[in-house]
Amino acid sequence: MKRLNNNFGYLLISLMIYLALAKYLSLDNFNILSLIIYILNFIVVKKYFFKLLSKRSIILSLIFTLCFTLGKVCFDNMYTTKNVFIEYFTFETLYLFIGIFLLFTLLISIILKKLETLNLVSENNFKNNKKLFIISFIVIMLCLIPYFLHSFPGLIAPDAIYQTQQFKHLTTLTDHHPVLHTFFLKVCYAFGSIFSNSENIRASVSTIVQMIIMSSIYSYFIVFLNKHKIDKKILIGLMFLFGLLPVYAFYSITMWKDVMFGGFFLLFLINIYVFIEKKEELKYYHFISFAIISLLVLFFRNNALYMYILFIPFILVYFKDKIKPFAITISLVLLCFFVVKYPVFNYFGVEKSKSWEYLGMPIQQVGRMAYKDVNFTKEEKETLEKFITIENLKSDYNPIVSDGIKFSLNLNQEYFDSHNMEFLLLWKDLVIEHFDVAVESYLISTLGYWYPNLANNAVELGVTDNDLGFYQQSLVPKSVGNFIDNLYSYDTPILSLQWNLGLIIWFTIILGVVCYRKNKKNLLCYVPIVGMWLTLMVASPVNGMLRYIFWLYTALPLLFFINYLPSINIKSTKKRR
Amino acid sequence: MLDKIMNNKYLIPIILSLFTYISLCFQDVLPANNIFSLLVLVLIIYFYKNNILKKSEYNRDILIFSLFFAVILIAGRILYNFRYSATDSFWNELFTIKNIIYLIGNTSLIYTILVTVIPKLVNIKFKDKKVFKKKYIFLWSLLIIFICWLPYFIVYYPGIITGDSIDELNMVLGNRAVSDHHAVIHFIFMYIPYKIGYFISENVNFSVGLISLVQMLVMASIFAYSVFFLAKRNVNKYLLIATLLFYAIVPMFGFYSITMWKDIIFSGMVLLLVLELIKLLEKKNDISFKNFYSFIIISLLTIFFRNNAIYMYFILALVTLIVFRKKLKVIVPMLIIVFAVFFVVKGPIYNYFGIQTSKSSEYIAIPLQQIGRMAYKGVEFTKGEEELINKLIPLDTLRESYNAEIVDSIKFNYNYNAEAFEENKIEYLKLWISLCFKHFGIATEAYLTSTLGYYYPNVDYWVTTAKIDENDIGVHTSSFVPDNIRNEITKLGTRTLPIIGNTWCIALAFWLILLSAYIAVKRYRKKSILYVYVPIFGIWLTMMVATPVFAEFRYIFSAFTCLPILLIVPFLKKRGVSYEKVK
Repeated sequence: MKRLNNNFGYLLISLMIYLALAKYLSLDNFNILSLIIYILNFIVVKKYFFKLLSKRSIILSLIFTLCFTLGKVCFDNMYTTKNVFIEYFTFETLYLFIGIFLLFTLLISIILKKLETLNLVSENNFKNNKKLFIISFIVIMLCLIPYFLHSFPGLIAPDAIYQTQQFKHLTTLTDHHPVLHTFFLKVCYAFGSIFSNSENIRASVSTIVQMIIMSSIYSYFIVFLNKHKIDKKILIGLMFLFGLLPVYAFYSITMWKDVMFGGFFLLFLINIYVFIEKKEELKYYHFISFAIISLLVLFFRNNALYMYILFIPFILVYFKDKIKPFAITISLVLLCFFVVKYPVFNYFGVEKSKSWEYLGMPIQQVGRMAYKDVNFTKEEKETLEKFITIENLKSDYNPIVSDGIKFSLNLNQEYFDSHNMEFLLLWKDLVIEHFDVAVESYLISTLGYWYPNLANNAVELGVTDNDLGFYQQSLVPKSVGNFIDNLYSYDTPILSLQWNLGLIIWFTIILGVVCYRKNKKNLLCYVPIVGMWLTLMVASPVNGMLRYIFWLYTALPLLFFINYLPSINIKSTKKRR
Repeated sequence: MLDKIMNNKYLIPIILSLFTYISLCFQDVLPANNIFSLLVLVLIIYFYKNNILKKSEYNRDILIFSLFFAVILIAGRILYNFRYSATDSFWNELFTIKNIIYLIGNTSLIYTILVTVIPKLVNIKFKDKKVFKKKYIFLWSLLIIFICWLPYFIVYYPGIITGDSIDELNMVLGNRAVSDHHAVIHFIFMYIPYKIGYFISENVNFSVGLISLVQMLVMASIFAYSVFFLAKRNVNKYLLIATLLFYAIVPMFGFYSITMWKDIIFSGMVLLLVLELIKLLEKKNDISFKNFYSFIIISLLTIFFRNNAIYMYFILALVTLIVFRKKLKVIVPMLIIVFAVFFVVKGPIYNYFGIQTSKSSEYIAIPLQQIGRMAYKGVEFTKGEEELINKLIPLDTLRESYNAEIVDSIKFNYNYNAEAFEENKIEYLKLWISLCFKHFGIATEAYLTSTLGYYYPNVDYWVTTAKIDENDIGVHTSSFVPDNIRNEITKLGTRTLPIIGNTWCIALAFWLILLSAYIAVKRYRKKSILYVYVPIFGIWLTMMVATPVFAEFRYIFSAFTCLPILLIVPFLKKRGVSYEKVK
């Protein structure tokens, strides 16, 4: 009887999983291959479900299931006026929740077990690090060349056009896009101008330099892993991963600040790891490199400052025995940053970003209230209409991006700039009054950063129409070009998953759990990650944009490998003994 | 190097998992950019890693089965997608590189499942203790099944009636002559309850409802008997419960128990026939004529309830003579009686009562579909061929009326001249043969398309109408429940719901029966056990030779009535002495 009960239990578990899969994968229920998935599911459940179950896999699964089921309802109702919470609390969600939870529990148990027992260290590694750096660099560059040739002079999105206009003095230089990146583009452009009059060739210099910088950073990372005795085969795989995987390759040739920020962010994390590793034997050059990289990180993205401020107490507490050098370094970094950011930028007449640009989230929340026709009181209406009329707010509202309202011609931008406190007070009252809509709007506006399956505009292929003389001039045969373009596709199995932000974030969380199990000290590396993620959760203008989170793509390999790097593990093992 | 690769317990499973995953994505099973697809990939990798390299004495056979099923899935998908394409060629599409990838992917998936399951099933031993007391088992089963079916009766009262049944009701009402097109015995089966019902109530709906009730009772009794039959053979009680639940809960039985088709009772009779065959096998060495009058009666009922059943019975008779070659003295008279009664009734007796018989053109569905597809695909016919075809049906009409799923649009076309065929059968046979040789690719493509649903599982075709067709005899749906509830229950009669949708899959049943036959042979280590499977494969063969519809569920409903029994056959405890125990 017990055996039957067990079998019945397994059947039920696999049935719940299958029903959830059938719904979320839109399986053709009459397709026998769908049924085969059920059978496979049953066999795996029967064999491993209870064997691999752990407390942490259950907790993680609960979190992911909640994110997924709630996110799905938000996603489905982005453009409806339905209340997502009413839609969420249904019988259907309940059985799907159970099914998804069981599936996640099974799979996360499998993944955790695998990750916790993995061994990537080997004596089989490269002997000469300099040579390895050069080989890695050449391999990555060679892999990138087809992408570059097809996309010549590089992938140029509207932001880069705008930045070019700035350094060409066609428009005012602003801090909206980091000035350092605009400066980088200008220097490259000027360098290109020495050799050619062609706008395309001039523009291509920044792409080539960016490719060189990114390849160097990736190669440096590979050398770093080699020093930590990661197996040779894995390092070779990494070279090709950085060179060929479309997300790395396309971004290496895209004129966006986010790309180099991603590279610097990886260096920043490596630096933190080195601090942890060499805690007892830190030298002055470690602090110098940390200061330089910190400044690059801070100057290459405006929201990095918030991450850095969050990071400071953690690093100071962590290194409380050596607080002095850390405090000095960090103070110098902040001093340098603020001096440049204010007196220096002011001196050069750099226009500051509008303060209301950071109010994307409140604007979206009020926008959704208008979109859903909530009842505004007379006073609220009057106050609101000083900024934008309710009708315009309703029509300009776009759940995906706050730019719809922020850059709307209907918005009284001057008034907004000078009265943003008034807006915030109104927003506060409205949030209290229409709490459900406010939460719903928040969830939708940050969806891509916690829910997978949100397709986003990850890569801007080609060159945006412009009057600067930049245009795509493919230097490869059409068939090759088409092949390269098709690599950015949401329909290619496996490869398409690289564009899935939510998945990458979930995987980072899993790695965090593994890190917690294997070596808690390394969790310090996760503080900047959490900090960056929180800035997106607080003020992201788009509800899922890969380039905003490209830093996680560059950091992910490091987060993965730090769980297996030997020197730390040896110490911790000794301690445990 | 090769040894190193072969011995790596991760490499092969991971590579094959990727093949499977890519195949599933490109065959539109999994969406490529969905996180859940990735989760399925993890499941596949884990499953393969632990199972695909398992070794057993059945690996070679399992690989053959897997390849066979994988090819069916690939070819069937192309045929299904191209069935309305006049320009695409199945054969050109079949031999492409992507299909090699699908072949590897599909084969790996099926192989791994079979290699995990089959060796276990071949060697499984059920404990004898877990059996039910036989007392009242028939009555309990009957009651449970009947109660489970009652909601369907209440929802669709007085029953589910299509055009065919309306024809038969018209015969019952005397509005049209009795014809053997619909089996005469089924006409009688309807006639008696209808007349009793009408005598009591003078209400058409009530009388038709009585037919449905009688049919429910008959079918429930047959299924209850089969449960009892298994119980008598000490089958494990969990298997008995599963069998009972299968008949009681799976929607097809509920829907079909109240559907007025000859195929329903026929399928019940086939189940009884299969049980008779099991009895025959059990008594193989102790067989005597007086014990098997039931075999004769069931045989007669089976072949009278459907016209094409006689072809299946010919095959069965032949196999019976081979299996029981040492008992010909008993077997031959039994078979003679069956055939004699059948032909006497079908011939002189039907003639005496003026019952119309079916036309030969009923049986030429496949050739008609083949020539129809040739016309549809713009094949150039010679003048002579064109003339001959034009006599049967004008070529343009043939081209336009061709429907890959069903021959009726040609056969029942206003311009179709059945007489032309009746008068020149040989000529048309020659024409068909020569056209098939000349346009072999299209002929085979047409054949495979016209029989698709009987071997390829992913065909979505109607299985029940869940209503009463328009008619002028006054029978109409008079449901006892609100429309919204009826609509929800009607969803059970489609292939859209998870799991339940797959129960309506003809090919799946055949795949399972095929595997069951294999397991039975391996368990008993005697091929004679295959005898039990002959009726179902016989019926399947008649479909593969002459089906007018490419996936008509009711034609093959018997496979489902027999499914639990045939799946349990490999695990039957011997009652007689004919099959040996598992080693």
